[in-house]
Amino acid sequence: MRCVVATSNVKVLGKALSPLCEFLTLGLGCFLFTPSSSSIMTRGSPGDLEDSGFRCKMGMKSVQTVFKSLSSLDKTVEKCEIDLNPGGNRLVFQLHCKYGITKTHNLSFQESESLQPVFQKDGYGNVLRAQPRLLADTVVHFPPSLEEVNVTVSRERVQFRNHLEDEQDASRMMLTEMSLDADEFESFRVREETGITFCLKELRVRDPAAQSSDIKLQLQCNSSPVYCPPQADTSHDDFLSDDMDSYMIAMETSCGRAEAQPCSTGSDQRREREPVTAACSTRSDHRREREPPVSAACSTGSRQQRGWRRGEEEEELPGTPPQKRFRSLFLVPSSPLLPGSQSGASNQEVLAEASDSDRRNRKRKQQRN
Amino acid sequence: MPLSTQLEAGEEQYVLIASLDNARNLSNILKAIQFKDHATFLATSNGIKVTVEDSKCLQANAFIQAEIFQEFSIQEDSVMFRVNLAVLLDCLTIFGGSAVPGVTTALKMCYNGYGYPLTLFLEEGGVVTVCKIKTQEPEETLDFDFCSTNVINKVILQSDSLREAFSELDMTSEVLQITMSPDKPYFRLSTFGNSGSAHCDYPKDSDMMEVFQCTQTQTNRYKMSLLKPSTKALSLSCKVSIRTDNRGFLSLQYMVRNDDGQICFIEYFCCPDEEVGEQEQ
Repeated sequence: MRCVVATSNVKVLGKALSPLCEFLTLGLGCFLFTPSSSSIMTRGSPGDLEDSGFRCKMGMKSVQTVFKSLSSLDKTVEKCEIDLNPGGNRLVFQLHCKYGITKTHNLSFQESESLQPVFQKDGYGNVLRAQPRLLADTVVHFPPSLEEVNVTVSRERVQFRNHLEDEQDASRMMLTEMSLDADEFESFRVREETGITFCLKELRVRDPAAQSSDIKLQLQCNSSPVYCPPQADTSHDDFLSDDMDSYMIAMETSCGRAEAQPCSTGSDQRREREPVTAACSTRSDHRREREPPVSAACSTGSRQQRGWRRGEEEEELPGTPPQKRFRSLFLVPSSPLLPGSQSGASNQEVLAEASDSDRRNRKRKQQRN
Repeated sequence: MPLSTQLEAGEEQYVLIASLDNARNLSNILKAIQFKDHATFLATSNGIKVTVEDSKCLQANAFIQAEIFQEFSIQEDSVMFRVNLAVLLDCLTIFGGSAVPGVTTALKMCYNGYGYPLTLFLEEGGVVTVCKIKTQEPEETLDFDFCSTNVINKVILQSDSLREAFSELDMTSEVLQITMSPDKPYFRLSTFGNSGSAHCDYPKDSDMMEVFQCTQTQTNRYKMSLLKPSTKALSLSCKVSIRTDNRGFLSLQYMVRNDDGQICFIEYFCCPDEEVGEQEQ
């Protein structure tokens, strides 16, 4: 397996890793690169990677060492190659820099199970849409150390409140509550009152990515995972990308067994996309000339590759990286809040089964509580 | 010896007088070798050499030639003393460390020999400060016995390219491995840290490579903790010469241009790390 990242994407790859790095300082990040991404050219047939089943987990700090000097990446690095070493025990990142200088990083990794959330986009009763700024302005009021937040969605408003564990005494804690009225949202459709709790950190990771692009935030929730597909500004159709590429974020689910279902593949029509998995590719503002992000797909399926529409003639250039858009983020609630909503581990459908280490950590946490 | 018991001297009795219109021409160079508190000063008619050592494995020397000084007079063949480098630098920058354009601190450094303090007269904007720094018995400095006839491999690189490589070194690695060879990879810096190994290769025909004279493949490891301080000298310099001799001893020579465009040199000597580790491919 070998991937080559073109100059313009190297810096973006480094930048895209940064929010993940912050989010996963204590954990591991999960990346899957597939040959179907046209911004990552591969040697070997497209089926190789999927067939080989290569998936790995790496310490975030290791990956960060490769992209240390973000500010000078685009000035010094001409090409980045990612390959497995002959022994198969090291992932090799090779940066070809100016003046013939080559920087090689042989990083250790762990094999990992694949995490592929399976869900149906249309199953949500509550759909809220707003500018990403709204989310940013909301989460900034919560202390950075806060782990989880309760979100209650009613027909008039959405309420964010910091989550208290059972043993915590409310009178000794600083409690923060933010209410957003329905009219602060561009679109507010609530079929049933819902309350969920999820990890605030994950939401914070998504925000810088969304902020750097022009996409709106859409929250879809029942008591199953909150689904946040970005909403592209459809008046700028020319720059829409049909790529289904996305990073995968290793996530924890509450319990249960995932159904072995294939990921739903999206149609390649412009306005109707069915993003399948969590994505974290940052995307530059299409009005400004900036590098498109590099991202990796995590589902198979047919998809058309469209070149970046700078000009008609450039559409056909092989290897021209297309623009990537922020796709979606899955935030798995740690518990449903409202009575009457689906409660109990057995009722909740697990979309992405946790890896072994995640299960062990969860068990330990449960035993402590 | 407490300061008060050290003798006072008149101007005509000074053994060494060195004056600079811009004290930064001395302080900047000394900052680049300030990895230990104490330094040994050796003054001869050629100029001043300041030496700092660590663990008997590392030695850094800063050479400030007599021509750099606006006034330089020495009454003996050689004058040697030991001072606290941190204190000296604090005095040299007593009017503030930041460079205000057009404003410089003038320095007159005087020493009257064994038993006397090092006296600094510093002036900026009409304000004069006199500092007297206690001197100590000079300690014998190491002789690494590094001579050009024993040099096996030598490269001279432009500092710009090496600066980035040094700033990105994996600090979780205990050693920095330097490979020099007439064949590939020509010149390679390697680290072996917690996440894996990393290599930075410079081809012999790179634009950054000014001189490439490698006769034999040599791979040597040096303790990262010893070499890390040399990054300061690297950041000041415009060129660096890297040489290894038949024992694997490393000589790094940095060419530094001061504020007035004059050339000074900083030199680091380092012993190879004795522990033999497994080399990663």
